[in-house]
Amino acid sequence: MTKTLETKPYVIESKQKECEGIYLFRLKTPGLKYLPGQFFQVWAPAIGEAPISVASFEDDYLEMLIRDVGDVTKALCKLNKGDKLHLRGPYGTGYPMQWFENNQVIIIGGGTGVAPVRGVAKYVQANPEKYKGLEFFFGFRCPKDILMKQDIKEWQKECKVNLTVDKKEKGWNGPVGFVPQLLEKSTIDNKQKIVALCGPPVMINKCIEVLKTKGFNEDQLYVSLERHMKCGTGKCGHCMVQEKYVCCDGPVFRYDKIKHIIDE
Amino acid sequence: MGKRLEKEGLDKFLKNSSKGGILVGPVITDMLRFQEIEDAGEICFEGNPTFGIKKFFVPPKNPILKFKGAKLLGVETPKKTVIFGARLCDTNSLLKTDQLYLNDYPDEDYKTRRENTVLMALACSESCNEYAFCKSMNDIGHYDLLFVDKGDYFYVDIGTEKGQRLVKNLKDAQETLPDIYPSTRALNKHNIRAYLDEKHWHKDRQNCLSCSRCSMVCPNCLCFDVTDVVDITLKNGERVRKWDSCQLKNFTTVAGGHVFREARFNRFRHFVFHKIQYFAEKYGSHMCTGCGRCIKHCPKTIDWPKTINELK
Ligand code: SF4
Ligand code: SF4
Ligand code: FES
Repeated sequence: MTKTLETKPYVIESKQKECEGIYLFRLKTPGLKYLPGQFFQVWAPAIGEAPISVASFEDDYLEMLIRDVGDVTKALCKLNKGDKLHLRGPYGTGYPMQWFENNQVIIIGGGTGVAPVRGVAKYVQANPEKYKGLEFFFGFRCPKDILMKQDIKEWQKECKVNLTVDKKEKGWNGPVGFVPQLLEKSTIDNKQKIVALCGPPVMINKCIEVLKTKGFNEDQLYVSLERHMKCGTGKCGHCMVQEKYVCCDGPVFRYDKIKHIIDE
Repeated sequence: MGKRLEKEGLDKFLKNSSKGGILVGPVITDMLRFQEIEDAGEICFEGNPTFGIKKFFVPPKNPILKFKGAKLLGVETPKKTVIFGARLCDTNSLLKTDQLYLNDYPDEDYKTRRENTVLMALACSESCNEYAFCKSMNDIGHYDLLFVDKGDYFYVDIGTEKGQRLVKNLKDAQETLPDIYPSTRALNKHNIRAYLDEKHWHKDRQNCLSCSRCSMVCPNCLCFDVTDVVDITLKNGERVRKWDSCQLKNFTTVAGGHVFREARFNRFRHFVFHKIQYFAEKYGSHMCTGCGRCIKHCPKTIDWPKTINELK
C-alpha cells in the first residue's frame, strides 16, 4: 500500500468540550513531529477522512480542535478518552516560526480559526527567549462560543488578549463587534511584529485592510487558508486556489504571495 | 532508426507482446472505447474514443486501500497491460499525470500501473475532430512504441527501452520518422495570466452549464473525491477515489457549508486556467494535450481555445 496513505492510531488522552459541538482532543503522540499551521487527515473508519489542523506545539502530544459539522467530524466527536484517533500527516508548510524570531507575534483568530494560531502561540511560549512576546485579537459569535477559555486565562497573565463577540449576551462586559474593529481601536504599530491570522475570509480581508492602515507591510502578515483537502498530497485538486495547492504550498501563506488570488 | 511491421503481422506481434497480461485497444461497441481485446482484428483504427486511456491509470472508481475495522490493507496491483492504439494526446497526458502522482508523495497504485503498462501509440494521419489543437501543444510525444500507418505496413518508432525490447525481431524501416502529429488548428497563446478578468470570457461564461462533461472526457483532468465505501458489515470496506470535477459547485465546499468557487464563471475559469496557465507555471507544460474532446462533448460546444485565440 502507498506509504503516504497509511494512518497511525494515537490514544486520546483527554477530550475537553469547548462549546456546543466543538471539542479539544489531546492525543499522546510519542515521537510525532509537527509544526503549528500544518494539518493531519483524521480518519473515522468506514466513514472517511477530514483535514484537521494542529492546535498545539508540544513534544509527544498533539491537540486538535474538532467541530461536529460533517459525517466524519460527527463520528470523531463521539470518541472519548482512551479511544484512538487515526492520523496521516502532517501535511502542509506550517508557520515559518524561525523567520518570526526577534519579533512580537500578533495572533488574530476568529471562531474555530483560533485553532491553528493557538499552535503559534504555544510555540512562542515554548521558546520565549526567541520572541518579543504575544498579543491576541480573538473574535467569537457570542460569549458562549468563546473557545480556548483556559488558554485565554493563562495568556491574560502574560500579555494582552483583546477579545470581542459579535452578539452581546447577559454577563458580557467586554467589547461587542468584529475583530477588524477591535484592531482599529488598538494602538499597535508595525515595529518588530509578525501577524498570524486565521478565520473566515471576510474577517481576514478586513483585518488586513486595517493592519495596512496601521503601517503593516504585506510581508509581515501570514494567513492560514481553509479548504477541503481530500488527499493532502497535491493530487485531488480540491484545495487549489488559482495556481496554489493549499495542502502543499500552504495552508500558511505570506500575504503578499497570495494577495493576487481572485478565485472566490 | 525505426522498425517496420507488416499489417498482417500485427496480431501476432500484439499477442507476443502481451503474453502473461492483457491487451487493450480501441473497439466499437455502443461507442468507440478502449477495452480488453483478444485479437487485433477487433481494433478500430479510425477516430479517438470519447474516454481516453486515463481510466487504466486513474480509474473512475479506484479502490486504493481496504480496511477491516481500523486496520488498513493494500489492494491488488493490476496486471501487465499492453495498450495499443492510444493517440498521442492520451499518451502525452500521462507525463502530466506523472507530475502529480509521482510527486513528493508518490502513489504506489499509479506507479505500478505505469510500470506494468506498455504504451503502443497510434499516430493520427488527420485531425480526429475539428476542435483538436494537439499539434500546437509542444508535447514531445510520449510512448514506448509509436505506430505510423503506411498502407501495407506500420512504421514503428521506438520511444523507450521497454519498447525497444519488444521490437528486437522486427525489420529495420527504410525511411525516417515522419511528422507524428496531424495538421490541426493551433492554440495561439500559451500564457493567459493577463486575461483572468471576467470580461474576457463573457460568452463562454454565459453558456457553461457546469455539467462537468468536459472534465470527464479530458485525458488530463485528474481531480478526484475520496470516500470510504463500506460493505454489509458496515465496518469493513474500501477507500475509493472517484473522478470529480472542479466545474461542480460542491467541489470547494468546506465543513460548515461555505463554497469557495460559488460563481459558475469562477469554476469555468479555474478549469481553463488550470489547463493553460497554472499547471504550466508549476510544471512547465500544459495540463491539456489539445485533443478537443472537452469541446466536442460539451452540450454547448464551448470552444474556449477559440476564445483564447481571440483574446486581445
Ligand atoms: S482540456 Fe480539452 S482539449 Fe485539452 S486535453 Fe482536455 S479534453 Fe483535450
Ligand atoms: S462540458 Fe461545457 S457546459 Fe459542461 S461544464 Fe464543461 S464547459 Fe461547461
Ligand atoms: S488536498 Fe488534494 S490536492 Fe490538495
